[in-house]
Amino acid sequence: MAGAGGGAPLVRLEGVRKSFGAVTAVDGVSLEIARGEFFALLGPSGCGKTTLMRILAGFETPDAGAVILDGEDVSATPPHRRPVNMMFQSYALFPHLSVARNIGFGLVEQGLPRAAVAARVEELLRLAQLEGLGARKPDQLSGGQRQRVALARALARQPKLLLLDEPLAALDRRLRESTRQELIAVQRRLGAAFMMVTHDQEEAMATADRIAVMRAGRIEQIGAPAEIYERPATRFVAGFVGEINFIEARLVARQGEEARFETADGPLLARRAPEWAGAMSALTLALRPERVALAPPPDAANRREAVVIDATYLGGRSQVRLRLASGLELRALAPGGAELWRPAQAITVSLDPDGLTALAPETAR
Amino acid sequence: MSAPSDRSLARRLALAVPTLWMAALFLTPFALVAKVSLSTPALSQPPYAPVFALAEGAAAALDKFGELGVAAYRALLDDDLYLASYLGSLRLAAIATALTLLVAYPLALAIARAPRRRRAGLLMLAIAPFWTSFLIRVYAWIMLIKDEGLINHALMASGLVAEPLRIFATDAAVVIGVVYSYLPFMVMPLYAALEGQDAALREAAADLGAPPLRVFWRVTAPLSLPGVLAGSLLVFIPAVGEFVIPDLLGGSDTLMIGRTLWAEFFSNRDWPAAAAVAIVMLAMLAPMLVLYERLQMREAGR
Amino acid sequence: MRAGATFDRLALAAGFAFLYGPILLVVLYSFNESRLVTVWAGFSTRWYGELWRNAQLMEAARVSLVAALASATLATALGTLAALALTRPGGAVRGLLAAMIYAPLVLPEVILGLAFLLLFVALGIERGLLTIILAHATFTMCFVTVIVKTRLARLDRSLEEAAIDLGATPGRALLKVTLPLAAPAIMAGFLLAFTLSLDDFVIASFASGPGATTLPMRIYSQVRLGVTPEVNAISTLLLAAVGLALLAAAALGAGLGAPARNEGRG
Repeated sequence: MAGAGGGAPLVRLEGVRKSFGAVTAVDGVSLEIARGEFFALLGPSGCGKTTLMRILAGFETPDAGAVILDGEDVSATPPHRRPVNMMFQSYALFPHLSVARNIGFGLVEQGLPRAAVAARVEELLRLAQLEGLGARKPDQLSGGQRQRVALARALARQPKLLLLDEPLAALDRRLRESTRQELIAVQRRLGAAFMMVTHDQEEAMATADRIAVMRAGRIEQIGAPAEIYERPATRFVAGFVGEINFIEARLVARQGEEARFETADGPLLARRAPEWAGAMSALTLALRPERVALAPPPDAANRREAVVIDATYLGGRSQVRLRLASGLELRALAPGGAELWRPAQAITVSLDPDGLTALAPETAR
Repeated sequence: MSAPSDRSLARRLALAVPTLWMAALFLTPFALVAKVSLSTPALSQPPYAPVFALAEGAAAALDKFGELGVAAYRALLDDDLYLASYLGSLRLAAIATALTLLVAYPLALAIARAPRRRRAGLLMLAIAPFWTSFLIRVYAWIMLIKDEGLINHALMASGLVAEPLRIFATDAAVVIGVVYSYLPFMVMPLYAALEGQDAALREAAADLGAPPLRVFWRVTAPLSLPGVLAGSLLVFIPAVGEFVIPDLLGGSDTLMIGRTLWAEFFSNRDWPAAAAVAIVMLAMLAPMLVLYERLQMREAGR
Repeated sequence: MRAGATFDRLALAAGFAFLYGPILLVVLYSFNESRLVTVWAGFSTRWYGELWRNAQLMEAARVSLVAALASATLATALGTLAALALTRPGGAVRGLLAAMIYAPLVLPEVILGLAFLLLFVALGIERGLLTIILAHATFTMCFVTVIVKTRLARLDRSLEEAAIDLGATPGRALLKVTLPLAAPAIMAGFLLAFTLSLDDFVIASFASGPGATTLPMRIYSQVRLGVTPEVNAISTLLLAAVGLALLAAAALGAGLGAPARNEGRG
């Protein structure tokens, strides 16, 4: 892995470990972030994602493992000497400095002449649509404006990697969506690598090129959003990223790509066979609610008789809870209102063979 | 906006009782100080000839304003002792305040940066001396810095000096006494200003390329300025009028206005002069008092 | 990071050595056998015995204790009322009260003392124990107000509102909810008022007459004459008393650190 060629990753974490007292916050994480990639660390609070980001920024030193940035081991480099900048969750804007001085803070530290700082600050104010607000103090800005100042300030030094700590958490719902699009646009324009930390799976799905799902200090799965959603590797990922049904099953036979399973409610066909599972091994199948068809055509695979438990209108569509003959409960998503589904109503459903994913057994921790 | 409890009798009493008390025992006396300062000294008991008695009422008081004696104030101007005392007080209080800031800042910073669970204990330790006798704390320094005191004893025993260092009964001793006695008042507001700072601000500065010392100068120090101001006022205002410290630690040539007032009152028994000294001191400190009150109100409004 | 930690440790060590060194020396030398301060002649408690036999000093201590107890009780009542009044915003009277409360915290003591004295003379009250109590209650109530007000400001107001919502009259809500929650701060305020009164020399000198001499006044006249082991001994006893009061306050969890930011005098 020599030089900064296009193929080499920008960031490589190798077996990074960090404990605080008895608590292991990051437990042997290895991952790579490519140049120009928008990467998201997703996980519940306390999963270690923030610690991992702080290790990248240099605020924490890993107990073990290495942080390689652009081919250089920066594990012990203090934050002020790293070509990495961070946008803080609270924005951490200096309350005693104007917007312009906030944005120019890092440029002054670089030793840039006054005129050059002023010119670059002007440019960034334009980029962040903050023209004319340079003289204001942070407390004279709206939440959205503060967010853009924080972004402009973090981008001022043209970092190789920009870290974003829950960048949208402090914004209200309406503003969040437009800001998300702006963030993506800025990232595409600059071509810098962004790494975002979030607990919001929807946010991660909508912005990132790749997502790493973390749990208890470890990475459960790394992949593109669709991959994480459609083919979760573990029960945790499946459950954390949206609603899902779990079906206990036993692998009966493998036919090329396809696999046959036996369940309490009869046989099931899945289009993708798990490579790791041997014949007759017990495992869990995962199926998204939208993959449960409520009015299947007669020739549909995996048909089942079910009874409606209840239905909840979600706006535009309804979530229907069903019970199969074995007593297994399933959730399904169906277009239209909840009044279409009456409790105790008997219906036929089909479980989409393309949507069935076999989950790896839980690894011992 | 006002909650129903605002109108309750208890709430109204809670406001009225202390307000009346303070008006009677704090505000009225100052009017009296002003009044006495305009009287002429007399050798009776009380030792001043009143310009107007309380009973004479406002009308009579207004009549008498024409013939008010400004003799005490003219004396303040005529005698160099007073001017020297005022200037001496301001100078020593200013030096002492600056030194207190220098001593208190590292301490406050270290407490603010200590692990959260230890901060309360350390702060308690830093302000506990304020609870112990002021007199004893000043007295302790007599023991230390007298010519035959502990410091000189140790220095001479170790052969570092042949002659005892003359610290006691000098202006330097007064400064030491003020720094020592008022240190807790500087530490408290400094700590509050430093501890309240969001740690993310310092991290953000480091993240933007500032090495630790630069982080201090560009973020920590400017953000602590309100604490510096509050602490400086808390030390400077009372230090200007300090009596005990210059009297016990200072020399006979240490001129401070609190001591002069004391002498006018207790030794010369010239009450109008003492009152005039107090009124001028009050006028001198007024801008700082107003600033301090503003800070307190703003703090309270939060 | 590491340089900062070393700096912090040094600052703490130097700061606390400066604050406590002189006090500890006073305590140490109160147990010195010799009358000479600079010569350590072995451990002795003889100076404490001499104190006991010093009738003037004992009488002064009694006066001081009575004054401190009475003035602190008054100050606690008045200060708590003022704190309750000041936790509500607005109003001209409140503004006046607030201005009057904060000023004595920093005003030079000689000015306060002179003002009190002139008041007592004008009113024709004979100076003595009573005037000391009145003067001390007035200036220490400001400290009580600040401590209690800080605590009240941190209390959740909805607790009192919940009590009213549940049918308590505002007066009862105050008595049953707010005051008990503020009790540790009120207790701390009392302790501070007590020690401030016990400690005060300047204001007491103005406010007292020939009939009442307080302990600090006695100590002062002795200190002016020079360093003596008796003063060391009485100082040590006072320090021990204050130390116990502080421990009691800490045990009450009064959080003396935070409200103390507003306190302002020696």
